[in-house]
Amino acid sequence: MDIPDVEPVAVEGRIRIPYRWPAGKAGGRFLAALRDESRLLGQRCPKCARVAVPPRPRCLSCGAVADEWVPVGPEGELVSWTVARGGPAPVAWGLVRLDGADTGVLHRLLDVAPEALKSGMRMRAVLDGRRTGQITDIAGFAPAGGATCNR
Amino acid sequence: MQPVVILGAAQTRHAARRPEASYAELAFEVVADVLARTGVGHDRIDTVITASSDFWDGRTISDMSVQDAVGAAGKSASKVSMDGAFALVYGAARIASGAYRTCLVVAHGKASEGMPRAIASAAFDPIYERPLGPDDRVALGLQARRFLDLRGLGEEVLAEAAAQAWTAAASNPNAERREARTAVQVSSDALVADPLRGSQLAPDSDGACAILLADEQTAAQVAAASGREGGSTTVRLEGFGLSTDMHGLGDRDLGTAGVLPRAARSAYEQAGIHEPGRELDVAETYDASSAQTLLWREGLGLPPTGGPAWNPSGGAMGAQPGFATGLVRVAEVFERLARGEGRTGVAHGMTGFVGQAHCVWVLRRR
Repeated sequence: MDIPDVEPVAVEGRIRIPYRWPAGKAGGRFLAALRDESRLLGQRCPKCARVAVPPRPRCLSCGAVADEWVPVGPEGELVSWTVARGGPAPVAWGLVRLDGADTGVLHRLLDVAPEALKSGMRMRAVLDGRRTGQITDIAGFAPAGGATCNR
Repeated sequence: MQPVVILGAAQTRHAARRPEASYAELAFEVVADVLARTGVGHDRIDTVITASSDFWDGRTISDMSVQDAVGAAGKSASKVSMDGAFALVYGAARIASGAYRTCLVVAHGKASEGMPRAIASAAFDPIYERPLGPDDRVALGLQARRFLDLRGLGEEVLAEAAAQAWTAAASNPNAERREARTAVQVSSDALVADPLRGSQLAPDSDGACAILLADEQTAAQVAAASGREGGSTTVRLEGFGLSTDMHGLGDRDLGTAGVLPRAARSAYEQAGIHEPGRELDVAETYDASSAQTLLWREGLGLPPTGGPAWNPSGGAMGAQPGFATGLVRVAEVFERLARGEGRTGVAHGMTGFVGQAHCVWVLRRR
């Protein structure tokens, strides 16, 4: 039997499944300090002194239990940056190494034109006026010389 | 351990869209092709390893939906939810152990069925990153910027690498991109994630790849049965290396090849390679951006110029069919060596953002 070619047939679908991801002990403390005290905290390894932000219960370098909390930021250095231009408006992104930390935080960059972005520039965390205990309590990072601190 | 021979490889003609085929049909296409090429029947396949992603296929246990297509019913089959080059480790281990004589390794990826950026976005950390809405191109842009800054290089090196890839892909019948471009043309393309332009990013492709492995004795039997001269065209897997880096983009230095040199060292050591730049004839890498083309070359211990034929297929910049991409690199190196174009080659696969995990294979013709 000869079967003629047909127009491609496709089934449309969508998967929407709600999840609930616990932040864990260390993450919970980090997010609570951000929400309740406007403070950025890192976890310091007692063995090799590496400070991780966001915190990890175990040191990323040597594996020791890292249970010592240290304040970090709110300023830091822009390690790398990019501008995502796929959406309706360009969005600047950066990796910021907060003062006192050894790791970089991925976040959006605010109040800065793409032309003015330069690796190594000083950035400052801009906290959101409304706190929810999520990472979005940091609205983003803006150049440290700017006037804004919170919004 | 048993030596592991590649009996044959097959790949689809990769395309931006294959709306007429289901992903299982893509897998079937390459399985039928590799069996026809090698003259091996389904009844001689002992075990099957597939590589697929549940998120890309839009269903869980995605391997089960290709089991019919790959002929796995009644056999020992398993899945690797990573790039196909990693699935080849599983398959090769089965042959090396002596427990199986033949193993079919199949990977598929069909980007056109879902939303590649949204799917990539789901690989970010759900607590600290996903709420901000980044995608894979953000990661690729951050890596490329850091790569240039760390070395004091200008954006023109990315354009040159991209032009080389486009030009190579133009003469690869299986590539999605088949149009030679100059560095000037590439540089005039719109920015997608600074400093990367659209033509400096691998495309999202539909495609599949299959590789058939066997032990030496079976390989000799298959060669004898097909009437071909077996010994002179045997290509073996002679070394591999795996390495995994930290997950967080801010936990590694994105401007370096990261842990790739570790995987490369392991593969070279097993294959007895001391000077990769001189001893290798061909290299194929999974480069999702032009920055990665340059980074992975360095990470594989190859000189910036000269050395082995570099991504002669165009690499992943020519086509990126999801988890098949790394397995296609192995297939490309295999085909070259089997045709007698060189004796030793290296193939690279990658999984995770901007090279969190690497897999390196050394192939050699005997």
